[in-house]
Amino acid sequence: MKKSKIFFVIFISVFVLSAILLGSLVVYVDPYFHYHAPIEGKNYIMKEQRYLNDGIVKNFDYDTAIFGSSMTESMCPSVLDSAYNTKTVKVPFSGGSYKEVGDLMATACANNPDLKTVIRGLDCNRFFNDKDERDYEEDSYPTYLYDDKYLNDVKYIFSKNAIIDSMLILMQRGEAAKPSSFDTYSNWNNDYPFGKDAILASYNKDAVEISHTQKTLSEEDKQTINGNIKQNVTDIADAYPDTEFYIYYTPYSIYYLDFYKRSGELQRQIEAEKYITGLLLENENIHVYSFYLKHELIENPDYYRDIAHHGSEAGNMILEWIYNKDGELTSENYEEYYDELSDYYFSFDFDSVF
Amino acid sequence: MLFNSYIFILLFIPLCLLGYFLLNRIKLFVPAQFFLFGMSLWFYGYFNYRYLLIIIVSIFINYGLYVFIGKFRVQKKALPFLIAGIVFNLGILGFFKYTDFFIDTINHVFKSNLPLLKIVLPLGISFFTFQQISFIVDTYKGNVGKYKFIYYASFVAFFPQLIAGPIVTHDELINQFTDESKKRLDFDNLTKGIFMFTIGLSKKVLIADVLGAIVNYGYVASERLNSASAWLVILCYTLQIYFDFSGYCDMAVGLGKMFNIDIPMNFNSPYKSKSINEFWDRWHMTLTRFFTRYIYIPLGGNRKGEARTYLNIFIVFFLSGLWHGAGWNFILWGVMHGIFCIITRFIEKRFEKIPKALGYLGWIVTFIFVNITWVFFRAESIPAALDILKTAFSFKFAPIDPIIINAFRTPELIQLMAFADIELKFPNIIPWGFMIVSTVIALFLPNSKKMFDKFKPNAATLLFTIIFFVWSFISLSGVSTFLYFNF
Repeated sequence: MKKSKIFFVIFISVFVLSAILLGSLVVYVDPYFHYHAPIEGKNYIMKEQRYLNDGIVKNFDYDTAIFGSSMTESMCPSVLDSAYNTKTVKVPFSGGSYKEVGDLMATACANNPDLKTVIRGLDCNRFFNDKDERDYEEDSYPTYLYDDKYLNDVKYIFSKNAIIDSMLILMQRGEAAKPSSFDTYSNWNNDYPFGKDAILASYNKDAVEISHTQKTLSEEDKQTINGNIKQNVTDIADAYPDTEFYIYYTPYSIYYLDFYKRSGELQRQIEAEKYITGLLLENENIHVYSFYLKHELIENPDYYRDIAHHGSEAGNMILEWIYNKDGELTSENYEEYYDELSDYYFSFDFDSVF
Repeated sequence: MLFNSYIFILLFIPLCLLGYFLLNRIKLFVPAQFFLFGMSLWFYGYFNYRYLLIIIVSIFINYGLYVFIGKFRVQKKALPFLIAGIVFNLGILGFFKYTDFFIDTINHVFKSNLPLLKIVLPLGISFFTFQQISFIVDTYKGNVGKYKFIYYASFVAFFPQLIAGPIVTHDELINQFTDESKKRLDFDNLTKGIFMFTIGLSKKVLIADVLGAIVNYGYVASERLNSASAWLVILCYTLQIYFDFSGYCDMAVGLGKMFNIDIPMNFNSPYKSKSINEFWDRWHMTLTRFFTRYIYIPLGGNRKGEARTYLNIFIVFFLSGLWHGAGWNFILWGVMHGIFCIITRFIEKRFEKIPKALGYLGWIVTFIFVNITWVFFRAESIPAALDILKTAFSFKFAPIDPIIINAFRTPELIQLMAFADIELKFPNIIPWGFMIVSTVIALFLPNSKKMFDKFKPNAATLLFTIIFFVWSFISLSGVSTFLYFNF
């Protein structure tokens, strides 16, 4: 046979063989849980949220799920599991918009009939964003993992990230050497310093453009909110009446409120939250929580690493509060709550926290 | 469709080769050519099927003009049709590529507020319009033989060179399409093509795409850079554009070879150049050829005195800048290259022989110049480019941004280094290693053309091809880094 023919035959054979081998490896181990739950007894590498979360909500065995942005990343679901005998997964999207988180929540509800409880953090700094906002470029998002088409899975089963992860998981080496759990998944609690100094390192109050008047909630704002909340929260809750939805407003630190106050946004924020609460409470299976009068949290910088993000301790406290119905808003009490909130922060001496 | 995609590698190219050579084998030469044309349209329409109309209309009209011009015995009488052809092709290019730029410029100058049309640029339009202009001009000059429509159509649409060149001329390609000896599957060419495709794919996927992530970050988050990071980002782009573009052209050459078609080389180690003129003889060579043949020489080239030569060079580079992109930054990039070419030529003319030591100095000056001008090419606007350069030249050095360092750390490199805890002992070995290796490849190693010419199917080339092909194949997709500035 001609040399070049031998070259060609060996090349094609080796290529086809490697593709089959590597592809089967990924399907078998399934590091992103696209086809099945993790193999019993193996540690998986829990890291890339956009690649894992869809598989987690579709294929894991759970009855409780925590959704949200980076504000939920440091929560420890084991707190719930041990105290309330739940099986909880945490599926945060760092920088996730309402739409992105809402879509995942809908996927979870649609795929898991056992899902009883949904806990969701609503980011207060995204109240006025468009209902379809998604914070990423479409072509860099792994949409092939989110659908049921088999053909586009080539992008998954032949990707070196998935192949290398599969090998590490199979051998239980590298990042797969240590056990993973939903407590440690995306949990950055031990990676950052907390406290006043840490917060003030990234927040310069003097750089904020001061507004001497406070904006208020406009009709346009309400329309945006209606679209955003309806599509990404209440419609989903309506579609799954047997699931209970616990929605809480992500509690930022007092420094974030200082920022809102200075920039003239505080009034509008409070009005918006009150308006959203009204919308949410129209659904029987939605329970709403706000913790902005929990002074021991909001005004204690030791819980925070920057003006917004609290760590695990506060996160777990929030889970406890939710389960104890502490901080729950009802149709009866919520208007009074927001009056109190408004009075408190508009008479608050923000200078005292610096 | 992109060469570096699963659908292209797993489906398109096997199908295309199989169909083409099977039809040719049973002597269905014209159907085979139609098949190749059809596949090329699929390749093109896969991006956006609406583009198909543009390219098909363009092919028909240009072929019509060719037939028409060919009927004239007296060349001068065909002139209106030549002009019509050039106007038509430039008109298409102008409309799709430059309308918004034009409106934007008017808005700026007259402080008006005309709405932009937001036209989506059809892929490859800059390439296939130039190709067809050269065809019409050659037709007018009487340098074109008798071509059947299908051969002309498959010359314009031939998928390896359709999207990003090389800018192949009709005589280079059509004579090969009609050559019956080239219609049989030839394993020598097939393996040589696979080898070349693999080199190009590796350059694109294993090097350019990694650098691209850093460049994207650097140009979006330019305010976060310090001088060290800025210089790194600038160098990364210099390397990225070379590996990306020359890699793409290598793939084109390789694909052509699989079909027994020779496609001209487009790059010849441009960063080894010791002067800017040499750079343009080595960079995007088929474009330089086009501009020389159809603009520079018709303008009089260097035959009308020194001053006129400089003007001609300037015009060519101005147009080259405009061709590369509809934006003032591209024009400025072209103008800077033009002026530097003129200065270089002016100096070279006044020295009989340049001493060897000056050669190295020439390399340094050329390389730095090319690096800096690429900033204008890559940045969104001239002010954005100046921002990066200001940071670079402020000489305020600080450690490189960890996001940049991490972008070099591809999963396989991390695992490779983990074997003996190498990264623990030498923390920045991956970024340093990556930059050094890619710079060495661009500056010192024999380029793909040399490897291609010397290729022999043996155990070493087989091993090389398998390793790099499989490695690139599994690098086509993967975890893209999501960069959040504040979550």
